[in-house]
Amino acid sequence: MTDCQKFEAALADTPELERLAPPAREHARQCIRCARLLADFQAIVGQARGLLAPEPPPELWADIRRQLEAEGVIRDAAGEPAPAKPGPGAPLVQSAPRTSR
Amino acid sequence: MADPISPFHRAPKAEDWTEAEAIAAAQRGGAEAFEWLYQRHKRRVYSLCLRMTGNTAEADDLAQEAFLQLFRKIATFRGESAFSTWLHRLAVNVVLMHLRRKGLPEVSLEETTEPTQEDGPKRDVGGPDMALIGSVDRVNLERAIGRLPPGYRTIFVLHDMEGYEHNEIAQMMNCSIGNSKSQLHKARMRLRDLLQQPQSQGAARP
Repeated sequence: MTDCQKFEAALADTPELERLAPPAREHARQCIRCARLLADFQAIVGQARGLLAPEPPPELWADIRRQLEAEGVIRDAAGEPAPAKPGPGAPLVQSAPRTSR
Repeated sequence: MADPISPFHRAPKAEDWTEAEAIAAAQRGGAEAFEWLYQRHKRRVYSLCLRMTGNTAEADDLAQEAFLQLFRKIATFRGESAFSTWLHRLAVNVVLMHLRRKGLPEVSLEETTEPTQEDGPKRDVGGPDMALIGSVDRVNLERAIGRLPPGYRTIFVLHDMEGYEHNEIAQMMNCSIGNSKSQLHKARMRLRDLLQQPQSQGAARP
């Protein structure tokens, strides 16, 4: 196994790049190719850790809530299952006719 | 927490809740509490689902499923681990189950940590190695992660982005620690290759 292959084996075995063993670090100091490989890995991992978490679509919570209400997981103040609200596109519930006074 | 029996007890408002209070309220079925927990954790769960699948429609469905499973089981949460850890593991399992149902290959049991010739640094005869130093920007990195093969992407997301250790990944992926390390190394090498390509080349593979 060449020194570069040993370096790459050490790199594969040490995902936490800052813990790379001294012999491997020494090789990277002397070998431009391996030094670049290490630097690229450090750049990739460093950027990956800083990537912003994307926002879910705004309607996701409404969908979750509707399902929880339908299952009775969400309860009202009296401890009763909260009535499920109709989703978009659902037919409107006809209200009872008002009685005249 | 204030004594609920005391006549002077006033339940804290939702905006003043600690996570423990929100969890307790959710265990009693309170809608506001569920939403409080959802808003607090939605980005990390959604991010995990999106980055592991590379597909927004799948991520929407899987994030929804993860939260539904969480809220159905919330009464069983006893606080032995951090709530975020519990939720996160649940989300990872939801995504992994989905990937398995799609028939995507598990990490190969024949992989070893020994680098093969094809994994070694490219040896372009007569040409200098390209280095990325200073040229890894977030947009390109996101794009490159999306182009990784599913197995590589999963391990890269779990280890380098979500911070799981290899022993945890090995357990989740039903592989050895050595395989997990090997796949991560290959994922990083593939990302390096993708990031070295000129921007005009290489349309994203499905």
